[in-house]
Amino acid sequence: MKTLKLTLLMLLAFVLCGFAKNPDPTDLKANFVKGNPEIKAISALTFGPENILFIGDATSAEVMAIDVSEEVSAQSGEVNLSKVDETLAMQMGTTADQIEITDMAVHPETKQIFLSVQHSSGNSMLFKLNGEKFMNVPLTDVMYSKQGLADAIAEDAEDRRGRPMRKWAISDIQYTDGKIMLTGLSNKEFGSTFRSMPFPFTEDQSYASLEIYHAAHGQYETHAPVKTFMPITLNGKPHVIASYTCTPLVVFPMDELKSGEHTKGKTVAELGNWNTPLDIIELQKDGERYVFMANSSRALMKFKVKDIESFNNYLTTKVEERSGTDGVPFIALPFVNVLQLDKVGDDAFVMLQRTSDGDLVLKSSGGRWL
Amino acid sequence: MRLKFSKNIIFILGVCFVFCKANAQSSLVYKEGKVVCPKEHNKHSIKVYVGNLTISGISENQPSILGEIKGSTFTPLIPFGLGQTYTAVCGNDMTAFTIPLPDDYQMPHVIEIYPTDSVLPANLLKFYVRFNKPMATQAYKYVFLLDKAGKPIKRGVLKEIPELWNEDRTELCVWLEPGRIKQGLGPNEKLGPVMEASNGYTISISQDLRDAEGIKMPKNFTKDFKTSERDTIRPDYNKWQVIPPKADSFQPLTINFNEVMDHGSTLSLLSIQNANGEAIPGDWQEGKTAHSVIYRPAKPWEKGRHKIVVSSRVEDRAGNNLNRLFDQNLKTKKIVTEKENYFISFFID
Repeated sequence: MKTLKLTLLMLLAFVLCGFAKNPDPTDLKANFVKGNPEIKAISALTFGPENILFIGDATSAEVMAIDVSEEVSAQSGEVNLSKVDETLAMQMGTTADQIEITDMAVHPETKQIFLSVQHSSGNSMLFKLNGEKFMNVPLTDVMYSKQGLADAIAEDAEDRRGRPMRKWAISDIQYTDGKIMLTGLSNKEFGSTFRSMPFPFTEDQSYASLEIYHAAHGQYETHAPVKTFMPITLNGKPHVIASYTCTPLVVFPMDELKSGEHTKGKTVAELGNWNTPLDIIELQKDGERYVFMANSSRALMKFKVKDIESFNNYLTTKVEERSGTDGVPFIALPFVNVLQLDKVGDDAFVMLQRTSDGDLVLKSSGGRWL
Repeated sequence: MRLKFSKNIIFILGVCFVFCKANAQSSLVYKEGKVVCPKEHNKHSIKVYVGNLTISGISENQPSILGEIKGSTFTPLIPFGLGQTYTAVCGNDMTAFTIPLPDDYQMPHVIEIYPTDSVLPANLLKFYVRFNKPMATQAYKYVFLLDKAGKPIKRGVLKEIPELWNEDRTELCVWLEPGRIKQGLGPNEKLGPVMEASNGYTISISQDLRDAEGIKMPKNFTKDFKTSERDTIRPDYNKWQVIPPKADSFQPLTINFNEVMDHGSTLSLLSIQNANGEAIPGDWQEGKTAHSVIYRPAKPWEKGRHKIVVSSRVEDRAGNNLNRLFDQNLKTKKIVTEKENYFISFFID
């Protein structure tokens, strides 16, 4: 009897091991392990499916996928909080001038808001909003997988201690359809690279440089860093819509982004040179789709996706009025100094806004502006 | 007499009260990065707040510092900052403490700004600030480009980008506003270029910039320089002079450029291979002059043919790389190549 029990146990163990070794390829978390992903700096955040939070870590040059299933809970009602930076700073043991909110992401199902915050000492923390309180999300004992940004950086020179001498500051990260996409800047040469990697992670990675037609300049322009972007379907085909530091809005067909090649994007709007785009999202209401873009020096902008789809006169000439705008029409909404923006469901958004009296507020809005 | 005796008793009791209270307060103490609560208060949680507060100054919703409590000890998730004052509360005990700055503390300061030369092209694209120790983040708000009158140049330094630090945050890359440097762009035409030729400017790093432990620099750092004409020529590696080292030695290899090159890209985008295409491990460093870099090998040099692999992304001080100018009008003059690397051959004997 004992022998039979032992045999059954061994058989069970064998079957379990067999499952562990041959994970279901559709299981996004099959390669996850439990432990400390050793996050050094949270530069950018985005949610994927199945409660997976993607973190772009510029300091360790890695992308982490973290299972936050046990952390999320439903956020109900409108959000309207003031003194957000002071509250977070006090929890981090410092003052508001010593922290930076590096990104914000809203959980797509529960609508819970997550913020990444960097202390001036370099320590990063992740917070979630529970009701009206910010709670720390510990990241030292989680289910995760991660992937290094193995590409040009790894091939570059290293100093004697083996550290890469070039660094890549991640400016934005997005997930779509089994793919993680990142943009960023290098500390050694001027330019921007667009990267993508499959998820679940494999060793495959591609990076393409994006070439855009800069209408205000009247010529092709490669040396411009992408500040923010998102995947978008235009005329039934997957595209990337990206905005640059000098604010042209550019679209790239996804299937034209090829590793190691320049891709020429099509500028669909020139939004003025006095501005840096900060965040871009897509919303919809009553069958109409919109793109919202937050800016450093201009109000929150609203575009109709159908105007972008039907805009065939891609900008090829100089914008005559130097600080003027051109291309797809947009409406400026009455929200200025919006520093972070994300969608809350399909028809609402949440923003982190610096008000005219210096307060940093987190508030949700929606319907009436669509 | 009786009155005097009573006064003495009151005085002694008063001293005792103060002393005993102080003793009671000191039982809740800051010790080596942690706050320790008296054992008899174990049933109470320890809360620590930023600043020197009184009980009445702590509101019900006042956020306390995140930390771990084990037994009677509180450890903050982010270490307490040097020179910062905090208030700890445990049961009825309350104490304020300031984290002392060690006597031998190494104060933060700027070691060097690259390019190191005092004459820079009017279309300088970026510079690098090297510090003696790891610094705090959010540094761009403390970096300024000043005109001759000492006034900060509006939109001179590009600040709305992710911070470009090196690995240990001892070197910061600072871009000047490219929209003002590139001819034809709105900022360039409306405000003019960031700098004009034949003028004087100052790079200023404010003393309010802190090190990673939260301590400010003792004083501002400034570097004065003059401007030359715009650099509108692509770097030409054919004009670089290579001084080979001797075989079987650790002598550095020297490259003398025909112009001052960009500090960051030259130190990170050059490499050396032997005749078989194998990389020679070693370390690029600044040379004796602003025009040169040296390569120190990790192993003695071997005799034979070698080559320097020059990435086309190597830039000069104006952001012109080996493939294209930073400010290239493609409509009028197309001088663009798309090579990934260039090679300079040399022999070691």
